[in-house]
Amino acid sequence: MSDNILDAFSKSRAEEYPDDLWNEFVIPPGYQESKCLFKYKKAVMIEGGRGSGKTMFLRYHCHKTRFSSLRKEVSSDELSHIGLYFRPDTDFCAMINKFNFDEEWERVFKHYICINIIKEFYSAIKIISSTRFVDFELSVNPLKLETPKPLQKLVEGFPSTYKGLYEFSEYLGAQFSFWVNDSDSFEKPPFIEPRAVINSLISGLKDIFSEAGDLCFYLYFDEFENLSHEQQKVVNTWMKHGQTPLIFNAAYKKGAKVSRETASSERLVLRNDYRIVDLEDITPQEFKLFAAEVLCLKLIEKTEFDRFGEIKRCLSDERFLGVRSSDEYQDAVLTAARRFLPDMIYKDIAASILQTDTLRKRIERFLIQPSLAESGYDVSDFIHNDYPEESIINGLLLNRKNYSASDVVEMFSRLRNGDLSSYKGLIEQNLVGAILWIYLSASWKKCPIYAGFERFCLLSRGNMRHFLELCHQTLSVASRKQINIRRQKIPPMPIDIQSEASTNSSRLELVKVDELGKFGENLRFIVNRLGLFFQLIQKRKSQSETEVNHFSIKVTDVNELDATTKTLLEEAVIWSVLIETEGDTKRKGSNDAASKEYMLHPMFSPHFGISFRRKKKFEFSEKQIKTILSGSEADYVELCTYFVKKWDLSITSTSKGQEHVSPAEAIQRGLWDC
Amino acid sequence: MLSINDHSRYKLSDLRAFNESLIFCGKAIDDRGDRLLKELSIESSNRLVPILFDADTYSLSIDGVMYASRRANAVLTEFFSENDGLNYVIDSTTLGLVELLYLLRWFKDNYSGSVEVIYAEPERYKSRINYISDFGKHEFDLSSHSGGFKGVMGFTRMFSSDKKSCLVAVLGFERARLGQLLELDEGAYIRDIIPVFGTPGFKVGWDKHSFFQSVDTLKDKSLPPHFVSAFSPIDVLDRLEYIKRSSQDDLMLAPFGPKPLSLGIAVFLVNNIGDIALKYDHPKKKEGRSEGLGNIHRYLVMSGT
Repeated sequence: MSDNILDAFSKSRAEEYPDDLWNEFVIPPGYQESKCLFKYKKAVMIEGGRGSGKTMFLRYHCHKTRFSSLRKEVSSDELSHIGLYFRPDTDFCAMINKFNFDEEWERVFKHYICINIIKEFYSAIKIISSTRFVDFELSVNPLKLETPKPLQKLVEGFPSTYKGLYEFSEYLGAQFSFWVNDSDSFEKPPFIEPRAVINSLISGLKDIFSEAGDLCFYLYFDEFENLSHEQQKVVNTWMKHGQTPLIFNAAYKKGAKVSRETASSERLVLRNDYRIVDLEDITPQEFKLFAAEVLCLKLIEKTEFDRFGEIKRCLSDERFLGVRSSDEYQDAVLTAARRFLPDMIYKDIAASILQTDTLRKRIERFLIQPSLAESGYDVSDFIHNDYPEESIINGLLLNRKNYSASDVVEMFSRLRNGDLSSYKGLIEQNLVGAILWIYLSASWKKCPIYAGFERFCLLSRGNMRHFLELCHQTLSVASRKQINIRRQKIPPMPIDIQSEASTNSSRLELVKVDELGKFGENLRFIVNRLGLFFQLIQKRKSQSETEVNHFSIKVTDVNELDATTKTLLEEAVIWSVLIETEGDTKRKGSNDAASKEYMLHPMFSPHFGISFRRKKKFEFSEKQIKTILSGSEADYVELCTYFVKKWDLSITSTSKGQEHVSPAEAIQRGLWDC
Repeated sequence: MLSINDHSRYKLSDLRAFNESLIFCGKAIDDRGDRLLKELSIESSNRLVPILFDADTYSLSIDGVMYASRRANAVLTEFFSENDGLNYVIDSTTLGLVELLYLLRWFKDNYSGSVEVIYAEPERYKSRINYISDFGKHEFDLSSHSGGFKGVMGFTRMFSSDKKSCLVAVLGFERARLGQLLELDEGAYIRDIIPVFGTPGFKVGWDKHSFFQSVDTLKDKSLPPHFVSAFSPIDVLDRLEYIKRSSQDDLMLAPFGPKPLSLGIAVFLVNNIGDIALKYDHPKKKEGRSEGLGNIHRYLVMSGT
C-alpha cells in the first residue's frame, strides 16, 4: 500500500493542515441553519469537545481560506466578514496577571493581544490585495496606502503604510518580550489598545473598498478556555461592545467553565450579546453522512476514487450545499463508505461464533454445561447451527434464575417447530451483550462488533478525530497485512482488520488520556477503573444487565459530592472522557449530578471489550463513585470484590501466573478461572 | 556567564564539613531530602534558607518572607547584602526548578566565585500500580497533578504561530508531562521535538523507563534523540550548547528529567535569557515520591569566569 493513503488519514489536527483549508475542509451538517458564522452580526461563542473540529471550523471562516488562491470565484461579499484567527500562547498569557504586573496587568494583556492582531490584520490585507474579485476591482493596492495620521503621530514608530504593519508588529513583539523578561534592563513599552488601533486602520481602508460595501473584521479567539477568568473578562467586554467593523468571538471546549463577566457589572447575555454555535449539535445520522464525506475526501486525495472526483470541489463551497443534500448524492457517499468499511450483521456474527470451535466451546462449556447439573439435558439440546442467535441466547437464559433448563428446552423446541415468537425481544435485548461475553471470555481482541462504517461512527460519537484515527489504524493494519490499495482500486477493508484497528485505536486513546489537562493522570485511572468495572458487569453469564457502559450517581444534590469528585467529573466531561447527558428528568435538581448520567466515551469500549451502545446504566452511590474516581487501589479492589460476590462471579486471585500482578488485575483475570 | 566546573561525590557524613554556609533548599518531601537537610543542619554555623515558588500566585518565599517573584533579583540582592561573607550552597534535591533559576540568575548578575550545588539520588522511586497500563512497571507515582504550563518571568518568550519553534525535551519518568505539553500546543507553536534522554541513568536499567514512557508520545513527531549522563549537568549543558549552535530554529526547553539535568538546563537558560524559552508545568510533587538515599553528587557552579 502506498504510504500516501496512510498520510491522508494521519492528519487529524487542524495544525497539521495548511492555513488555507479550501478543498480540505468539509462544511459540517447544519451549516446553513445555524453554524455559518457569517450570519451573525454580533459575537459568537463556538463550542465543541476535544477533536470536534473547532480550529478547522474557525480557520475555514478566516481570511486565508476565504481569500484562497484555490477559489475560482471570490465575491466582494467576503469583505463584509473578514476572519482573523488568534490563538493566544496560554503559557505566556498565564504570566500576565496582577501578581506580576499589579494593576497594570490588563493594559499589558491588551498590548499582547494588540501585537498579535496587528500581525493578523496585516496578513488579511496582504492576501486581499492579491485577490481577484469577480465583481470588484481594487483601484489601489491597500498595502501601499498611508496609515491614519493620528496613529503615526500618537504611536511611536507606527509605520507610514499598511505594508509596514508586519515589521512593526515584529518590533513590538521583540520589545515586549525583552521587557517582560528583564524589566530592569529594558524600558517599559508604551501599551497600545487594540480596538482603537484596528478600528482606525479599518477606517483608513474604507475609501478604496467603498464600492464593495462595508468592511467588517471578525476576530476569533481560539482556546479561549485557557485564558484566565480575568483575561476572559477583558475579551468579554470587547465582545459585548463589539460592532461593525470589528467583532470579537471565541471558541472553547464544550463544558469548560468560561466566564461571561465583563469589566462592568453587566454580564454577557445570550442572544442580546452573543450567540452560541455548538459544533456537536449534530444527529447521529448527520454525523454518518459527514464522516462518509470526509472519508471520501481523503480517499479522493490519494486514489482515483470511482465517480467521486467531482465532489471534492463541493465540500468546501457553500454553493454546493444543495447538491450535498440530495438523496442521490447522500446515497452514493454512504454507499462508498460502507463499501470501504463493510460490517457484519449481528446474526452473521452469531453464526460465525458457532462455526468457530474456540468460541463455540465458550458457550457449551462455560454457559450451558455448568447450568445443566442433574437436569438430564445435554448441551446439544440447546445449541443448533440453524439457530445461532437463539443458541447463544440459550446460554444466557440458563444462567438466569427465572429460567429453568426445561423452560429453555421448551422455548427452543417451539422455535424449531416454527414458532418464531418464542424468542421475541430476547435477541434484540441480549445478543450484543452475549457476543461480547463470548469474545471477552475467550480473550479474543478482534471482536467483529467493532467493525464497519456505521459502528466506527458510533465509536467516534460525533468526533471526527476519532473517526479518522479508526480509519488510519485500519489502513495501517491492512498495510502490515499486505493488503494493497492502489490508485485505481480500493478494496474493502476486511472485518478482522477493522476489529483489530478498533482495539488499537481504543488502546492508543486510553494511553493518551493522561495528556489531557492538569488532571490527565487522574483521568486515565478513572477510565481504567470505569472500563474494568463495566467489564466486570459484562462478564456476568446471565447478562441480566446487558451492555452497561454509563452511570448515574445516587445523590439528591450535587453538593453531596466532595470537591475532588466534582472536579474530576468536570474535567472528565471537558476532555470528553465521559459524556454527560441529562438523565431521569423526574428527579429533582435537574441542574446537578443527581440528574445527570455519564457515559464512558465509546472509543474506550473495544479496549475493555464492552458495548459502545448506550443501553443500560449503573447507579453508583456517592461513596462508590468516590472510590472509582479517587480512591486507593485497595478501596477499588474492595469495591470490585463486593460486586464479584454479589453477582456470583468466580474469582481465583492466586492463579498461576498472577503472583506478580496487582490485586485489581488479579480480580479481572481471575474471573475466567472458572 | 555561568559554568559548571566540577563533579564529584560526597558521602552523607561529608556534608558535616560544611560550615558557615548559607544553604538554599526547598521542602523535604521524601527520605533523601529529610536525611540531607538533617545532616546539613547539624553544624550550627550553617543556615538553611528555604526558597519556595508558588506558580498560582507567582510569589517567592525566601526564608519565610513572601515576595512577588518578578522582584526576585532585587529581593535576593537585599537578602545577600544582609547575609554577606558566607559560603553559598544549593541543595538541588529539595529546591524546585524555578527557585534554582532565580538563584542562579542572581549569582550570574551579581556574584563572582563558586557556588556548591548538591544533589542526592534516591534509592528507588515509588512505583505506580496501574494494572492495565502497557507501561507496567515503568510508571512511577511522582506527582499528584500538573500545575499547568505557565511561563516564568525572565525565562520565556513571546512566540508566534507563523514561526514555529523546536522543543528540546529532557525526559524523565513522567510521560504525561511531554504529552500534556504537546496536547496543549497542538502544533500551534512547536514544530519539532528533540528528545534528550539521561543515559546512563542513576542505576542500571533506569534509562529504559524513560524510553518506554516516551516512545508513544514521540512516535512520528521526534527528531533523532540525544543522550547525556543522567547525573551530569556538565554533559547536558554541553549538549544544549551544541543543539543551539546547530539549530536554525527558535528553541524551547522542557526540563522533565532528573534534577542534575535540570541544573544544567537552568545554567543554560540563565546564560541565554531572552533567547531560549522555558516550558514548565510546575508539577505538584507527591510526598514520599522516592525511598532511600543513593549517591550524593557535588557540582561546582562558577559565576563571572
